[in-house]
Amino acid sequence: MRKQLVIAGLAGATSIAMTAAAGAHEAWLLTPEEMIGLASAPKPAVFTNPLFAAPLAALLAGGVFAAISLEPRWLDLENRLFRPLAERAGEIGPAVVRLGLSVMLFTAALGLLPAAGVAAGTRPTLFVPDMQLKLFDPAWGLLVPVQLALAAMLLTGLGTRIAGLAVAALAVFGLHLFGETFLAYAGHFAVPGLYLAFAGGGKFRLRLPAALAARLPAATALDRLELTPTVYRGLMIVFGLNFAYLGITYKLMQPTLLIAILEHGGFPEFGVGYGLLAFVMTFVEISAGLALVAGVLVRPVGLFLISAFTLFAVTLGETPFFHSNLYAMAAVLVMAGAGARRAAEGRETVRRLGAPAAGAMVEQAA
Amino acid sequence: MTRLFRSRRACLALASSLLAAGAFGVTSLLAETREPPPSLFVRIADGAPVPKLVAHAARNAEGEWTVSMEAENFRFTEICNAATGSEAVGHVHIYEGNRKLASAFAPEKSIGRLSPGRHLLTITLQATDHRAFATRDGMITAQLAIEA
Repeated sequence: MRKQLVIAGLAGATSIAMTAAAGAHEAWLLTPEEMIGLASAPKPAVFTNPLFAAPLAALLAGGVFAAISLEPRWLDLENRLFRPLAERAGEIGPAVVRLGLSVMLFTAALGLLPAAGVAAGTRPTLFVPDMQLKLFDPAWGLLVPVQLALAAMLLTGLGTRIAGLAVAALAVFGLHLFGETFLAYAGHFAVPGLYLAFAGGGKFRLRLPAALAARLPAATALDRLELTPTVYRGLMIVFGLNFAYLGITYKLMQPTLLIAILEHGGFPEFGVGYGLLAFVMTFVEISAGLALVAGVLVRPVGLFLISAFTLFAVTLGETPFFHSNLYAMAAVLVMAGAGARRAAEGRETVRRLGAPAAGAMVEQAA
Repeated sequence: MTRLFRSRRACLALASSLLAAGAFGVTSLLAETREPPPSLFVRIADGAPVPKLVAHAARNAEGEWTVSMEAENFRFTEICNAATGSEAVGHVHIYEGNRKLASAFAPEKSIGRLSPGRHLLTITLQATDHRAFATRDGMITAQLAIEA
């Protein structure tokens, strides 16, 4: 428990510390005219006046407190309801993540999901629309075939663990190439990449022709990797940390950017105005990230993420492909829940009792 | 055991909610009301020389238009990398409405032929990392009307 509190505290502190510099998350949607308006737009009072911000933040914090406190009351029911999915998470999860990552890699490599004002197919990027490779030495054009090759490997499931590790390495390399701007994305690509490196290809993957397979080693060192509860927990922490960072850096510190994006897409105001709406959205995103870091409310957060991405895609006219990697990892969270921790407890129980614990094994499928 | 689990859960819930609420409280205390989002804009410091831009357009014998720009307190460069230093250095983006016509890394840029009629161009100053230069009052731009 103390460990959880320390982790949550560290996560928050790190997120706040990392907010000094940031890139243009989803700013690729904005037109030049909207940019001109945004440059001179004042921040809403609800973000700048403690008299408005404090009561609202306290109210929302009360909601977070209640949700985390009451989770044990519905957790058994939740686990029963999701058991069929949890049993298959080990097979379906990797397949979904492979598909999500391959879509992002393929479209980025060919510039098929371009930023506003950029013609489709003209600007190859790294992972996301605003990380243009054209800004650098032409040698980095090499990342185009690299991304295509990784997309093909992931789609087919051939060499999934190697491809997953390479995606994670590429996410770290993005930090070197684009600097702090890439912090917004690194965790959200490194985590699914590492997930695949540890979990393998799962279901729906191709097999090499027997003749070719016979010439290759039967197993590599990577095949010994296992998605243990500790690994799954670590991935969840990084994933949640990235959301908390995004919430603080791009929404809390720059609320006019979020409001401009909402206005751009004609997002419904729900009768409360974009300022208040942005405040609530920001609070929920940061809280969701912290919940993942703490390993609580995992399935509700996963469902929230999928719903939020879908709502944004529909209302902003954004293609869901923009967030394929996040959809995929959120789906894994929904399927497996906070399974790893329970699996760890279950394993100890198995060792102690010398008998299989059905519930634990279900969760272990994470 | 159940009671202990609940109290631990309550501690975790309290810590998480305080952390989230604290971030908002601190931010509202520190927030500047008129500060363009730093992920998209490079803010010219108060008191620093503000870049200015004036643009003209001329048509050559082949009917192609060239935009010429006179910049003050701003230096053109072809380099695209992380923006550093206090000097305003970078390039410009030339737009017609919401359509980007060109990026200019030097004070002259050909934008090719234009269809007959009036064209209103907006030219924006961009830093080497493609963020836009802005002051407390907004973006630094130049307008140019061309009768083609």
